[in-house]
Amino acid sequence: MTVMTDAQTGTDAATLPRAQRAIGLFVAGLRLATLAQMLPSLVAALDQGEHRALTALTWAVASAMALATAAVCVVRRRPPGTAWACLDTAVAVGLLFVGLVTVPVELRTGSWIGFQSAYSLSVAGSLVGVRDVRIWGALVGTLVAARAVYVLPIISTAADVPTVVGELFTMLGLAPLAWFGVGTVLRIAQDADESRAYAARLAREDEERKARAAIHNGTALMKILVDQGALGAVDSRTPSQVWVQAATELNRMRAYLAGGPGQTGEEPHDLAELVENIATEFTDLPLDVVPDLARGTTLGAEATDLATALRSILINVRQHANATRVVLHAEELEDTPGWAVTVHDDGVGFDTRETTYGVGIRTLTLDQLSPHGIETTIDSVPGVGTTVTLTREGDR
Amino acid sequence: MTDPDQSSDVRFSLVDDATAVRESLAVLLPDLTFVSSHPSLEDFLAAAPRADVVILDLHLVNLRQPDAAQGVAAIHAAVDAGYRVCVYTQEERRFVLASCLAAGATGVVSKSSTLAETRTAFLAVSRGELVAPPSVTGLIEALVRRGRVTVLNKRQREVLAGRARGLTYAELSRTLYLSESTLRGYWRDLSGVVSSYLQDSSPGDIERALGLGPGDLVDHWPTRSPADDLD
Repeated sequence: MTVMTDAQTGTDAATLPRAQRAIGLFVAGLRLATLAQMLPSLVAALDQGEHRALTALTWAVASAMALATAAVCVVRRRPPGTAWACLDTAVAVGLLFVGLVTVPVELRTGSWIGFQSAYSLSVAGSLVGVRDVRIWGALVGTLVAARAVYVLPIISTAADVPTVVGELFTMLGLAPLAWFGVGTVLRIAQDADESRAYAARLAREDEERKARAAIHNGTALMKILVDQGALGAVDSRTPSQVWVQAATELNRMRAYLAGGPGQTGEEPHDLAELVENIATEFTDLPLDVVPDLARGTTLGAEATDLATALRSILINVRQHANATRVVLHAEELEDTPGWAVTVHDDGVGFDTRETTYGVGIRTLTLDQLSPHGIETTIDSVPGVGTTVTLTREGDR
Repeated sequence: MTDPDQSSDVRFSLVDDATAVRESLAVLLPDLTFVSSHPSLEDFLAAAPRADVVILDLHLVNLRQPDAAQGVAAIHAAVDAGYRVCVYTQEERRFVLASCLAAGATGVVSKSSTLAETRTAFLAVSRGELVAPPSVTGLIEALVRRGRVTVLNKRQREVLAGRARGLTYAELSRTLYLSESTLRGYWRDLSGVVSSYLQDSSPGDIERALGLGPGDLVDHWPTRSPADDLD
């Protein structure tokens, strides 16, 4: 039930919003951490060089942008979107270009006085909210290019080349890593939500099926009793077995309403014994039971659903077939592992092509047995009779 | 083609201790030829009517004839006298009905059957076809499946399986794509094999074949004791 509520209402319990919020907090943390690393170097940065005002401006803009980005992440509960990412990138590129003037060449790497390099890396890491790969690639490419322009003047000897290449590879390596990692997390979260919704749907359908199973046979029996009551002779004409079965179904419905499993007792797990037990509930039918070939055939978890289905089929026969002979035959299959149960009646029959099956056949038989690997076939000819065969092939 | 349900010139004789049955059955089945009716098998054998099939009630003892032969002893006696026997009874216990076939009866027909079913069954017996309710046919199917009756071919086994599930010849004809007369032929051939097996097997054999315990059939599979033999 909890699963259903979460998925249906889309509350915070859903995985995708929680994953997006976590990624947003990661981006906010990244920007604030970068800012925290920058600040100790602020005084030193302002004390050197001849562009003190411009330097102060770059620091102010970088700090404001980092704080604003963190705030956007917290407020939106997700990383910045494409528009903000473009603005953020533009600012970072601008800072890199202004840094060409404000930051001495020797301080552009390995020093927070030249913060632009590390700052641009944190901006590249903040682009994880841009999920269009072309836009993201363009933004990262722009940052890498601007950063290259910023650090290339460092190269004065061949020994400086690896430093510059390493600077650029840092961004080329970390930015895609963050982007793909976030993508993977989002896909997992999305899959989790879809699976949760699927499970909720299955649970809802299962609950509906249980409800139908709980009330169908009881409803059919009530109809029999009401129909016979309309004839004005309930007590004398209604077979005592119908009253017994009605009481059993009443208990089943009450168990369902009380939140129980909806069953009144354990069904036998020997196939022959199971069909013989069920036959005793239908002594008002002209029923021949042929269980000999099913002796020793063991049923698993399908026993309960099989018993429910057989009761439903026989109640259908009682209600609709007007049969003079009904045969309930059970066997262990001869050429392959498995078993089959056949219910045949010589009643009125029906046209299987034109008949819409009711709850008894559709829900209690077809739907309920198919998850157990039990195939249901219905063969009927108007005026001749009906044969329902339940077949379970293969080892349990 | 001959309609298998045509009564033709088959002659029936009825043995039943119930006067109402003796007096009414011939009236209710007017196109069947009943040449005589008798309250006991002793009376029937003494009269020795020229009949092809004797319709035999399983329980013939009453206050008027407390010593009358009945059950499998009566079946044995009628078969030994050269008659084809169709048991017509209210008995529904399938092992008891199967024991009637083992005693030599060609068919067992319930008195609760409709008149149309009864007529069809009597005529089938007159043709030598084994007639039994699905519960008994199911026993035969089990004997075949367990290799006790081995000479059946695939078609015969399919017909047997269908009959054990209650399918009529018309329904079997749809699924097996064979004419009803062909299916009846398979059933007739099968009947002889099964009858021979049942008549040649002891209750112990049957118990073992069906996976029952020793003595499980004692109360349900009556056999003729020497004391039951008619003089």
